[in-house]
Amino acid sequence: MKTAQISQNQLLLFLILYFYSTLIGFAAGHLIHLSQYDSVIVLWISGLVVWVYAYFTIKLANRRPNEFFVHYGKEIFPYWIHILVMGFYSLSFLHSSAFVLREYEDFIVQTYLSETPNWAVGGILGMVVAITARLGIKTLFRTAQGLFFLILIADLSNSIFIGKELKWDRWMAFITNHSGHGIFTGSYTVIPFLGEIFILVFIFPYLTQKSKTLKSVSWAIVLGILLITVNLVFLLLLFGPNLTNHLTYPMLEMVRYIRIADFIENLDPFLISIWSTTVYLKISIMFYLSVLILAQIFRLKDHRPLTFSLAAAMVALSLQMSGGTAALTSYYTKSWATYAYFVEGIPIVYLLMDTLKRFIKKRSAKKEEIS
Amino acid sequence: MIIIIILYFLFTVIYEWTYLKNKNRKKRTYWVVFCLMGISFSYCIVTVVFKHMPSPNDLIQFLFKPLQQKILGKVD
Repeated sequence: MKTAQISQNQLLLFLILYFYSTLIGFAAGHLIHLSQYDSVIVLWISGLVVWVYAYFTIKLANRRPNEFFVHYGKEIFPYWIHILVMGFYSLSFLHSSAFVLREYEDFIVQTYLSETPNWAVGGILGMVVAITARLGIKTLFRTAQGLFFLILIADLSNSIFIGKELKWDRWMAFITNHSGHGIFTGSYTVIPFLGEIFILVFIFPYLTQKSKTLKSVSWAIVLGILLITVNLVFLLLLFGPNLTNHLTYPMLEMVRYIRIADFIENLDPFLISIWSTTVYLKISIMFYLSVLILAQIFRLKDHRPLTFSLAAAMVALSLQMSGGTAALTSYYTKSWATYAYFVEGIPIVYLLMDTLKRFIKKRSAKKEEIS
Repeated sequence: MIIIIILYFLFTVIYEWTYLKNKNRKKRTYWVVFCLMGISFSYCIVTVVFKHMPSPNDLIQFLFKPLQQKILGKVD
């Protein structure tokens, strides 16, 4: 497989959108429900924890910078254990892509296309994702690079237009209202969102100037969180924490508050353009990784012949995974975070094992030298 | 719905067969690609026929919900 295709600039822009996509679109209400005015503190604490986590995942990837994790992992753990773990990762990425797809289906069907069945929305987006994944990772990152500034402009326009509607006297609550438990539960939920940065372990050989990866990731975390913070603060200033956590899509309601010069009354398309593109990018990378890992497990020359058949499975899984939005929300609020810690913790176990093996090897080599 | 799935997979079989043939891939690649396609096809059909089949979400909730409740307490 051809490596070194993604520049550090592309990585930076992609990661900002990757952090922003689902956290602000589908999880903002729940985060505000847990942490209220502490949401801003929660975001920055989570950013710090994820930076430390990213440091260790990059450290693991940097040990064999031009090899894929699926290939070198068997040097760290026994072959069959490693293959089982990689099989799990392939399924887990497929499940994650299906989960985000389902959130998007529910959003579109509930808000705009009430008579349209979920499978139609899922099928159309699924096909776009399959074609993107088939074209490869370079296409995906270039798409993100191209769309980044459009998304940024749309998001900043939203923020500027909503400015005059905000109730600025609420700002004092950011200083006075704090709860330790709220900060803890909020951080526990947000860390795995940002922790999805562990995909770097799988795509590391594709990066150019690998030594600058930590720098790009650090900037992506800072800028991504800054963008999310602006949106969350505006939500809190407009609706307050109690109303926000009762809204299914608070960002959508916020955009509906915008009135420009009494003749532009509906700016929904601004929001839809942001969400659709960021969610599409997130589903595409998750799906691409699922297919890539599977192709590498079976030692195929490229991943392309698997894309269309697995895309059908992704759409089927998105439709089958839950009976309705309530069940999906229950899954997300009551078990997803802990499951995500489990999935994201595996590369750290590999790093620990690799370090231990290297240490033992060094010690035995030293002993041999002395004797 | 089943007809749509069958038509989609018929298209995929023809498309991938042509792709693999043009690239002169080994017989093993054909086996892997079409076995995985078969699994995917079966899964799609099963989800249509058995609508209330347990999903991976149920398994994840079964395994991780008690642990999360212990760590965070009950969250509404």
